[in-house]
Amino acid sequence: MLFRRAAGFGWRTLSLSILMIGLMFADLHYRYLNTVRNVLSVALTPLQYALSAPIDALEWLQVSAATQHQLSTENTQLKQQVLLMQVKLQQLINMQEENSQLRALLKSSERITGQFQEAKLLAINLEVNSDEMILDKGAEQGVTVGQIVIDVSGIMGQVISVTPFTSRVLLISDPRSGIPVQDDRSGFQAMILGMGTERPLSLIHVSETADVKVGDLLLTSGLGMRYPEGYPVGVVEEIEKTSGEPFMDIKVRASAQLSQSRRVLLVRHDFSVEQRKRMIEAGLLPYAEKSSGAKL
Amino acid sequence: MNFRLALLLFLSFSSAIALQFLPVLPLLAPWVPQWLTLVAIYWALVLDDHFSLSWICFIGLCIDVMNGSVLGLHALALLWISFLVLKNARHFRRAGRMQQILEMGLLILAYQFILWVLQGVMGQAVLQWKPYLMSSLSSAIIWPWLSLLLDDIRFSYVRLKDDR
Repeated sequence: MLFRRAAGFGWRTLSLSILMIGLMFADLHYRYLNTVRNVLSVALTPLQYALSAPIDALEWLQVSAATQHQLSTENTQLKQQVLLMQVKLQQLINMQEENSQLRALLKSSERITGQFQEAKLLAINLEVNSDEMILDKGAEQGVTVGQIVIDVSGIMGQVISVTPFTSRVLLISDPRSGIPVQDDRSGFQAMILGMGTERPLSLIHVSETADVKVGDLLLTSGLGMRYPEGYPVGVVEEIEKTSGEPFMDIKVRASAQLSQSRRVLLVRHDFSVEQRKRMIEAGLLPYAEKSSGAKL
Repeated sequence: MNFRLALLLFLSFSSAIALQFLPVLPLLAPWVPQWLTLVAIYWALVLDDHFSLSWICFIGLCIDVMNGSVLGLHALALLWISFLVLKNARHFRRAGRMQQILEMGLLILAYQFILWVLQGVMGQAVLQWKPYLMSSLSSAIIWPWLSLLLDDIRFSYVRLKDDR
């Protein structure tokens, strides 16, 4: 027993390490391993749903424990809300028509309208330091990479990978995420970068002369062909000027409730061919996007 | 390896994965202990040279898929931590409780340090370092209870010493 220890585990560690490093390299630089990833993720999908089940059960319990009185008051409230929304919608339809006429006069392109699909975030605690979420809709339900995820108050992120029954969303608070935006008040355009979980976003490369004020609403500008135009991203929270620095330090609070929303909408948007052509002519599209459509 | 031991291994690892990904309040998220690494360390100490490094790599790959990280990242970190544990198994087994708590904290910190370095090498910026300390601390504190619990279950269901 005492001398049974095989000397082999050092060699095994070494060979497995080399294998794993090779795997990491292959996964980073080539797309060979997507099938491996897909097979494993399909196998793990039941676990992801199972982990989300307790929270769903709690929500269900909350609903079923509600009294008739509570439900009926909620119902009347909702009916009132629907009425209000419908009135507002009537005005909006009118305005939309007017808007498209004006745009035609100005010879500018039509605004794109998206199709919406409801989805739910699976409650899974992913590793700290990665701002990703998992949705309960996947390729089988028609989700594709590059779709935008919004909640009731603004942009949450974009779909970065899809498996048959789930899909992965990169939140706008992730350091890898960047969104081209424009100031709703002044029309000033800039980029928003994520700065990590639970931290304000950052509006970058804004010089001191730019027309940006605290409280300004920032909307997606539609440049870059990833996020459609006109969705709220955040509100300018704090502007800091450091003498000697070329750019200001601007903090932005995300409009969407990134850590609280569970019911979200997937937006399917198609940029028109004409729009695409114009953007390429203006040099606004990177080369990679010219040949193939929205690609990560 | 007998059937009961295999079942126990499967159950302990799958519940560790489940605990790792269990939804918690955002405030508590950085305090979630590294359940999977702790369970891996426990079985490395118990099984010694019967401990399968290939299986630990496979489990690491599953974590990578769940997390969406580069395939092999967690597998490599788990592999190296298991190697460290196997290499110093006798030392860890002889250590007193307080010493074990301290060393587990350091091991978990090393595990996260490996992840951090690998992610850095691949150019994926990791901005916050405090969660690493927090989860190392909670892992170290949870270790004595976890090992006692697993010991208890193991002694009542599997006779390991007779099998060898």
